[in-house]
Formats: sequence, C-alpha cells, structure tokens
Amino acid sequence: MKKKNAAAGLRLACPALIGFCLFYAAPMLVTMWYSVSFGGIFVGWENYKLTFDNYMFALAVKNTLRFLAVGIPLIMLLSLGAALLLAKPFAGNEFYRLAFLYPMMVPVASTVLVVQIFLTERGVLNSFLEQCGLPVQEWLRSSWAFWVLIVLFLWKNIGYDIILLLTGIAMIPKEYEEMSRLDGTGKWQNFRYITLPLLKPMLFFTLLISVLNSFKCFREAFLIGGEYPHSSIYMIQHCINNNFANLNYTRISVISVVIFGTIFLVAGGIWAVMQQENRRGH
Amino acid sequence: MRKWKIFILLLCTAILTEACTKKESSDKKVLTVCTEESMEQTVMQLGEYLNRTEQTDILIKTIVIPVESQERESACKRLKTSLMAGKGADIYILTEQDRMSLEENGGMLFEDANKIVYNGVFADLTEFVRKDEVVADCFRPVMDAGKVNGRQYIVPFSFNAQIWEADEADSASDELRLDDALIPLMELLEKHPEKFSGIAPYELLMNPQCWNGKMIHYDKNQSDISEEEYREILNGIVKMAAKRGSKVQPVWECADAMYRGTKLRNEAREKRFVPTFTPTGKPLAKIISYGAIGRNCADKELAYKFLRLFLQKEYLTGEGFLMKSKYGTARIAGKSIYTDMGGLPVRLSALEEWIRGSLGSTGEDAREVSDDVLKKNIQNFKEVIADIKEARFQNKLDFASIEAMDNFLKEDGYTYGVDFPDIDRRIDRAARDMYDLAYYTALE
Repeated sequence: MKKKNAAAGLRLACPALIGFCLFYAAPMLVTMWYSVSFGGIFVGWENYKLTFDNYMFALAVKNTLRFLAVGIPLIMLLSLGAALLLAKPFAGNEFYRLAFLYPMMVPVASTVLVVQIFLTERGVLNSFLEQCGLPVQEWLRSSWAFWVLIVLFLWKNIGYDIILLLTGIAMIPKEYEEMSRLDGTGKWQNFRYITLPLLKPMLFFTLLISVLNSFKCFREAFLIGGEYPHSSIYMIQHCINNNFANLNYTRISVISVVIFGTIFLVAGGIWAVMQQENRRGH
Repeated sequence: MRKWKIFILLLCTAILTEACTKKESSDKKVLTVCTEESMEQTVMQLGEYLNRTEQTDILIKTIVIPVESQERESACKRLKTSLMAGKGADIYILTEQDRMSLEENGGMLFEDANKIVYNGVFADLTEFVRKDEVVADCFRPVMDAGKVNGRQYIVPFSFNAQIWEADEADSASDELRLDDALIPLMELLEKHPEKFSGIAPYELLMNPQCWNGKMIHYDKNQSDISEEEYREILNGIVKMAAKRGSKVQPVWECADAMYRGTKLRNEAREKRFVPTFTPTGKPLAKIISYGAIGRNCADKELAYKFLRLFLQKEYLTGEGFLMKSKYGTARIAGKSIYTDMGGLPVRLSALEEWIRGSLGSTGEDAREVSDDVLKKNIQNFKEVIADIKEARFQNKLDFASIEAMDNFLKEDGYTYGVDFPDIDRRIDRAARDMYDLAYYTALE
C-alpha cells in the first residue's frame, strides 16, 4: 500500500519535478560549468580566484553583508516590538495594522521618487537645513546613502514581518499567559519564558523571509544611485547587473554559485536550528 | 477519439513542414549576422557579393537590433543572454554612430566593448588577421583596441576623433602645434597657458570630450587618472574661464573629425588641425564601427571572409563593390560608410578617397574649391589623424563626463558659468562624478 502511495505521489509530483529540473536544476548545472570554464575550456578554480580577487566583488560582498548585519536584526527587533504592541487590544489597532502594510502596496519607483524629492542635494531636507543655517549633506551620494537604504528596507518590509509575527503570537494559547500571571510572573518574565520560546518557529521563518527580502533591496539601491551608486550601497546585485551588461558570464556564474551556496547554507542552518528546537519542544 | 486523430494529424503536418523548411536551408551554409537596423541592407548585399565573387553558397540570416527603444531594449537583453549561453550570432557587425541618442533609447548591445573583449564571448581572429594583407594597412592604434594580450578579437572598421581646427591664414593659430597634444593636459594648463589663448575656455567646460582621454587601463583594471587630477584640470579650466569671460572670439574650435572630413571637400580656406589634448598626452580615437565573430561560430574562416569585406577599400572609400549580373553591373554598399556605418576608415590609405568621395555640403554651403586648397587640407587632416596615439571603444564615460559638466549649468538650465559662490564644491562634485565612473568601470 505504501509503495502504491509513493508511486502515485511521484506521478502527481512529476510535472512539478520536470519543471524544476528543466528550469532550475539544469540551468544551475550549466551555470556551475560556466563558473569553472572559459570559452568552453575547463579552467578549474581560476574564475573563482579572479572573482574573489576583484575589488568590486569584494566591495559588493562587504556591503551586502553589512546591509544584512544591520538590516536583519533591526527589522526583527522592530517588527517583534510592533507585533507585541499590536497583539494587545487598543483603540485604532486595526488602523495601525493596516498602516504597516501600506508600504508593500506602493511601487518601488514611487517610493524612490519621494526619497529623491526629499533627499537630493536640492531636496526638501537640505533646503530645510539651509534655512536653519545647518550644513547640508549629500544624502544619496555619501555614506548616508546606506542608512537611507536601511530605512527604505525597514519601511517596505516591516509590515509583512509584523503580520507573520502577529500570527505566531495569536497561535500562543492565552491560558499559558493567564496561568503564569496566577503564578505571579511579570510582563518581562512572561515574554522571556512563554511568548519568546513559543514564538521561535515563527521567528525563524520571519528571519528567513527577511533575509530573502533583503536580497530584493537592489531595486531601491539601483533607483537611488543607478548602476554605479555611492560605494556604501554597491550591492552584490549591482555587481551581477553590471557584469551582465558587460557579458562577463564567467563572473556572473561564479557569483550565482556563491550566492546559491550561501543561501543554501544559511537556509539549511536556520532549518537545522528549527528542527533542533522542535525536537527539544517535543 | 476523433479529436485525438485530428490533433495527431496536425502535429505530423507541423513536424513535416518544419523538417522540409530545414532541409531547404540546410543545403546552404548559414551565417547569422547580428547588426543594427541601419546596416541590414548592406549586410545582405555583401552576403550576395561574397557568394558571387568567392563562389560560396552562404545564406545570410540577419538578427537586427531595432531602433525603436522598447523593442531595442528587449532585443539587446535577449541577444546578451544568448551570447552568454554560447549561442548568439556567428558574426557581429555593429556601428555606434548614433550611440548618443540610442544610449537613452534602449541602449547598446555592447555597452562597453573595451571590457567585453576580455570576456571570451568572441572568437580569436589572430590567425586570420595575421595572414591578411588588408589588416597590415589598418591604423595600428585603432586595431590594437580590439586586442587582448596580443590576440585580435574585434576588428574595427571605422573611428572618430575630436580635433582642434583653425584657419591657416590666422597668425594667432601659430601658438598651437601638432606636438602640443602630446603634452599632458595638466602640464599644458600649468606651464603653457599661452597655448590656450586661441581657445574659448567655455568650450573646454561645455565639451569635456575635447580633452577627455582613454582614462582606463582595462587590462590592469585601473584608472589612468585620479580624482585630484580631474579636480586640477577643472580648476585650471574654471580659472581660465573666470579670467577671460565668455565673450572670447576663438581662433581654434573643437571639431568632430568625421564631420569635418566630410565637409572638407567644400572648404574654401586652408585649415590647420591639431589633435585635442588629453590628461595623458595621448591623442585619442574612438571606434565607431566594428566586427567580431561569436566564439561558437561553426565556420570561422568563412565568417572572417565576410567580415573582411568591411575592410576593403571599395567599402571604406564609399565607392561600393562592383557586382555583375545578367542585367548589367551595379555598385553595392556604396556610401554606406558615410550614411549607415559612420566614422573615418580604419585604413588611412583610404582616407583621401573617403574625403574626396564624401557627400559634401549641399545647397548654399556647397561650393567648388581649388584642388590646391583641398590637397593641403587633406594633407593637414591626414597628419592630425596619424598623430593619434591610442584608441578605445565608446563607453559610458563619454556621456557621464558631459553630464558632470551640468554642475556648471546656471539656473536657466542651458547657460554655463563659473561665477557661482560654491564653485569649489561644484568642481569637486564634477571631478568626483567623472572619477567615480572611471574608477568603477576600471575595477568592475
């Protein structure tokens, strides 16, 4: 019976599996071949060496990691804080829940247009600073650009994370909190020993989604600074995009394999931790 | 069941039709040529010419890069992807004559051929080029731009340059000489300011093309110029402009060599030319049109036979190839270099004929000039072109440098000035704009 079920399952999964092999696995294998060849000739790790030695690739990796290191903890903390606040009933709660989701509906181009109106050299903010007699800044063409990008990332993605965490909080039975209150726990202890452990699976999932979303922040960076933005927001996607324009397929292939490997390892790591947590829970 | 039968019947018909079509074309050798819309007809004609003269049996299939901006953008993306996947066309015949307008309208297939030549997408043509006596006649600095480590991957067909032009009769023009262009611009501005006495400083400010050089060592991944050096140059130009004002009557004017060359036939006065200065002291040419063979082309020898037609004097002088048919003889691809492809011929031996055969001016501007004046002008023109020391393909720097000069635009949006209270900041920003792009492009 089990064998029969397995065969039926395989048959049902066949279209998806064929699609996956054709459109994902095969191109990935071709990309892997390109990453170790030049003009159809096998060159071993030479392309990897050249790419890792490339200053712009190093800059892109450094900036992307910096962006992840700053952006991910910030979005996790802020969305957790907001979700905990929104989980409590208060007047206007629904309005705020929706308000956090609105940025997701705004097209990136419009968002960036607003940013440019406010933050370009002759933008609203600089005019204001000038009027107050304060020194003006080139917000989008200096190291400030990094923080502008971080704010944009948070503003755009925090709503989704809040919704995910709110769902997680809603799944925690109210009785646990009530019982602990009877035992005399405070708000912090309640959060520390009940909410946080039970929210962990959802926190990991939100973390994974946030990491994936952070890779999509290229559109904002591109619209802010073009193909060659300020060096603080030159991301890995800029590197891919510009090398695509220059037909540097070996470098793009190397970068793709590296990104694939990294995401695979990160996602695998998060999954392993989640599994461990689940086992501990049981 | 009946529906299935009809479906199978239709499927069989489709397969048979496809097979028959393939059979028809498989008798001939097929060469796919990727080219600009403006060049399509010339490419087809030259394919026909090759078949007649070399007794080959080639079927030329063109992949046209459209002019319309949206179509162009998607076509370029598609072609880039297929080229990187090892497919793409067998031959690329490209012109960047209209790059300035196309840059904003769909872009170019090869945004920076200087970089692409390093990326292994083109076939190595060194062996063909070495045996080809036509290539030996080509202008060396321009041909070298298509080489990597001494191997030829791209064959330039035509190029352009910016030159200074003055009336021979104007004695004030004596101050600037051919050799002056070999002195780096910074040194010239600092030590020989008298050389600029016949030049309007605002021309230097408005048109950085008349002093911007190669700037990037693509092989060494480094920029030839620092931000500080850019700042020094701009400072020098701004100081000069502030001192002399905008109402200077220039003796020397910056001119586009391609445009001047075609007008020379109607020039009644004797002219003097000097190459434009560059920060490195190496007068620069920019390649306008070129050809390359895809790395996966099955018959590279045949493809090269086709490619080298664009290096023949018949093509480069605009005379056209003589083709006989049962209806008589006709010249094909004549004038194509002036109209579709653009640029000065890469074979300098064809330059005089190119000038003499040019379309010249029409209407009121058209006038007959004495052959002595024309000869002298051609001689001067050839000298200035021969003085060019290096060449590169056009790239984003050309346009970015023009945009950087927007920092000196007045509030009306079209007048340039240097009398701003924050002029130092503007200079800094323009220098940084120009340097950043050179730096990024070099390193990426």
